[in-house]
Amino acid sequence: MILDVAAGTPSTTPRQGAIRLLVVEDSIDHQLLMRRTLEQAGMDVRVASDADEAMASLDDIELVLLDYRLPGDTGLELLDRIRSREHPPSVIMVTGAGSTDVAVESMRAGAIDYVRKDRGYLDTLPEVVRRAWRHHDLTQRAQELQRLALLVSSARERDRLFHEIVAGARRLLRARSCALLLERNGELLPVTVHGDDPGDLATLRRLDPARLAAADVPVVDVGAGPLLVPLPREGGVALGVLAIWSDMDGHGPEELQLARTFAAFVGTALRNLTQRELEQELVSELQQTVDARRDFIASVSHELRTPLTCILGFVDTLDNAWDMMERDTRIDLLRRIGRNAGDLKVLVDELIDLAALDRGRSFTVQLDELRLDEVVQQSVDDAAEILRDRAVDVEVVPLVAVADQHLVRRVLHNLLTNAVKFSGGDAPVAIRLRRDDDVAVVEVQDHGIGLAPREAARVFDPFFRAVPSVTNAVRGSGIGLALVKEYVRTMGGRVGVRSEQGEGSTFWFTLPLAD
Amino acid sequence: MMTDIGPGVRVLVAEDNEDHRFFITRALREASGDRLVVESVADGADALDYVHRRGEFSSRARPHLILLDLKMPRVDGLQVLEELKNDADLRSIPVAVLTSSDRREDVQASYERGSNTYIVKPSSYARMRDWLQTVNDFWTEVATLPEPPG
Repeated sequence: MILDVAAGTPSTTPRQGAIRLLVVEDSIDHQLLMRRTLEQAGMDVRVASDADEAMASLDDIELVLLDYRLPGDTGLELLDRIRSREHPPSVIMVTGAGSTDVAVESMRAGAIDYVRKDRGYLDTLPEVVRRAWRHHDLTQRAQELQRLALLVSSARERDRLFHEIVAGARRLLRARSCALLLERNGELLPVTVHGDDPGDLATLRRLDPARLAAADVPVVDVGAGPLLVPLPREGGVALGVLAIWSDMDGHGPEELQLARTFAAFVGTALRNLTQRELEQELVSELQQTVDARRDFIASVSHELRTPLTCILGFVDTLDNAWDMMERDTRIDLLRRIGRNAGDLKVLVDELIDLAALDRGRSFTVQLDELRLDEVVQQSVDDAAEILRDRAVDVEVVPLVAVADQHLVRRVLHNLLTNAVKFSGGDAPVAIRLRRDDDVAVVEVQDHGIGLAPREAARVFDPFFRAVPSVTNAVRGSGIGLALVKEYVRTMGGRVGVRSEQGEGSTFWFTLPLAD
Repeated sequence: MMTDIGPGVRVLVAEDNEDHRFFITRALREASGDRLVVESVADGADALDYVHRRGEFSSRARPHLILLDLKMPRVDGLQVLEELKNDADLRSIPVAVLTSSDRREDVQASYERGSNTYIVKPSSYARMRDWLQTVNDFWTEVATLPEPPG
């Protein structure tokens, strides 16, 4: 997994800084008193004396201490106006001594709390404000959580999703950094980090995903380590974990709850992502199969038409110009007709076999004892036209195998043709026959473009072509490796390929030896 | 001005299918009343050796016209075309691509590399014969061929 330290935005400072509040109070005395008390408690206080001044001073304010009895508007009307703002501050209504009705009314109207100007109210004021602020903050963060959840679930692809997760977690928990680690083969591997480099990321790899899964609550490491929020587990093993480093001394229970909720979203989003990626891969494979079939059909029709064109053409020539031709030419044309008809027969036979294969049926096979070395040599000779001037390295030992001669020859023809087709220039082709225990092994090696591992895994599949190429078809190349595989297996052997991209491929098959 | 088929207008046919090669060569000769000198090669590598007068082709004269198949082993038609048209001496030789491929990509690619024309092989020899007659008539009577490079 790539460790991607996303560009850290200047870390959002943990909210232990001054609470920003506005005191709306027409009595100057009370204004001063409240201001002094609250500033002494470390808060950032602004003041306003009436509704209009209040509305004009709301930028950046988190809490409002609102006097119920203001000149002009009632406190309730102003409360309404304040709460109608976008991202409104929370309002603590300040009511006259002894008035509970107003207090209840205010709460109903959207105030977060109320304070009665009873004796000694100034002493409790900071605590009331702090409590209200915590509530306000959590509400904000819950909304933020909603928004982040939306962002996370709308991220459609992997990197984007990972980024939204860590950036979101960091914002939500006001953290210095956040890392996402995912479980892979029993280990936790970091996939992305947001914020300052935490430095101790490596130590997290030692965590045991199974142990994490057992924990129902986020684990807080002792000391300066990160907060760990496990992602909801899949069958006993944690999907992963969010590691969060912050400067705070600890996290309150509500924050931990936020973290858990977020983690639940993340878990769902990750599972959906995996699902989506699997689906995309399936679609892609299906598309490849469709494309391969289409290529195959184009290729087959071309290969069928070529000998047919020749047959019809030469028959036509003989028909029209018989008397004008020399005997040798007539014989030449007849031989060509015969050869093309033979090619056509092989092609049709193979197509029938392939169709049977496709439908799950097998074909008849005649097993005899064969001198494989001789069959190999004959195949090389038969392929002379395809091999042309190319060097062919033939290494055989006398071996008697149990096989169907026609099928073996078709297999060899196919492999040799492929070897030539995928070889560039004059690169030599090698064909080797040797004994390995109780089987004969035949290898056909080329020094061509080779196969990627993905291609090598599929190259024996019906309709699959590593290089879609009607353009480079060689006459008589037959249907392909799917049949090779079937033929060999029907004869009791195995087939496979070893390949290096850029270096070449060695196709091999085995056949049982005669006792 | 008709091309003077004096000492013989030479045509090189590059075609990997043996029977097609046989047929095209014969048909072209017959179409020209045996005045065209038609030689053939079976793959792109030989085609290049031929025009460059290398190896077994060292004594050949350069052709007036080339009929070029696209799908050939070893070196394919597009590569041959590319090399021909990038060669200062050889680029003047007209090349008629003669192929069974009717794919748009192949057509475009051929013209982009400078082929003089593109012919999709008809599916019957009878028609192929007619078309080769047309090829002969066009290039020896209608059009004027350049002098092949020395």
